[in-house]
Amino acid sequence: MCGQAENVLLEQCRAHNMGAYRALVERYKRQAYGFAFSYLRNTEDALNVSQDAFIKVWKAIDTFEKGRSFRPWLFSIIKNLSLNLIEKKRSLREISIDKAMDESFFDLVDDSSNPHELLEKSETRRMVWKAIMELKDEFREVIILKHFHDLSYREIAETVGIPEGTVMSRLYHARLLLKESLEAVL
Amino acid sequence: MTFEEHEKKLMRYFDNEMDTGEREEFKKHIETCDSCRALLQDMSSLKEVTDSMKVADLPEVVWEKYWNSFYNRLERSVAWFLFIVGALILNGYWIYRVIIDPGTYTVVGLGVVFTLVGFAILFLSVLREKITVNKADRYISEVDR
Repeated sequence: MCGQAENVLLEQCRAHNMGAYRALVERYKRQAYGFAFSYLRNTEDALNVSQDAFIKVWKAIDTFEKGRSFRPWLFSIIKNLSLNLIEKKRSLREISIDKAMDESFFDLVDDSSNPHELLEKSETRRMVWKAIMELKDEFREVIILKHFHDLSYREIAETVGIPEGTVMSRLYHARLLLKESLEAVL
Repeated sequence: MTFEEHEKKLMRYFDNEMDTGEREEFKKHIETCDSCRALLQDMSSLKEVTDSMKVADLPEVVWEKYWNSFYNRLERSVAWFLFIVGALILNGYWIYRVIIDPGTYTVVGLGVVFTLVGFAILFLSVLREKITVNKADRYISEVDR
């Protein structure tokens, strides 16, 4: 969706137009779920958090600055809701810090029909995802926002709440760490 | 150029965040710098793999129900808000009536007491849970940012 079309949609949402809001939710629901999942690694929690985030957006849409990009705002809400849920679950001992990674999270985009090649790529993908999950939170989130959601530096900075220079620096260090841990497969 | 400036430039080049002039200038540097070229190659390999991965989609039926499920939650949150505000107004009014005419409104007074005690228990329960979560919660201030 181009920026102008998104601004029109957001303007209609500000007028509490439910049809426009539905279009906004339909537009971003998969990305919202995917981003929540990268923190929570649980389908049900990720769906709930993504819906909670949309409820927060609905309630606070009047405070959303005109001209600002929507996705960083939505993602920052999802991030904070996810971290709160993780803390809550930790305090209730519902999850382990070393929760097993959900390997079914990613599909492989590949039109190759060679099963060996597919298997090899699948293994590489699994190792890359594992290495990303093992990064410190501050590095993991910038990698996910850049590599899987294709956000610009400015959008990542808005989402995470850090300066653009720090985004670059974190990306640099995160990629170096990934390079080290994935030396054998890349 | 400091090392930090250099690493940032490299990131901006790789992520296509440079304007054309700056990009061309940095490209010339890369042609003469083995370490930059090697690092860019490693990053390209990583990007190639991550580009081949996408978030696994949930079954279509989940997405079909998503809006309805979301809408129900939104509706319930609005309903709870209205219910609480309404109950507070009614209880306030009843308390006022009981105070000005205690004899006539004994049954109403009893209803008010039970409702208020119920509210107080619910309120304290929610408050206690919030405090427990917030004690370990480093992010609460950012949620409503």
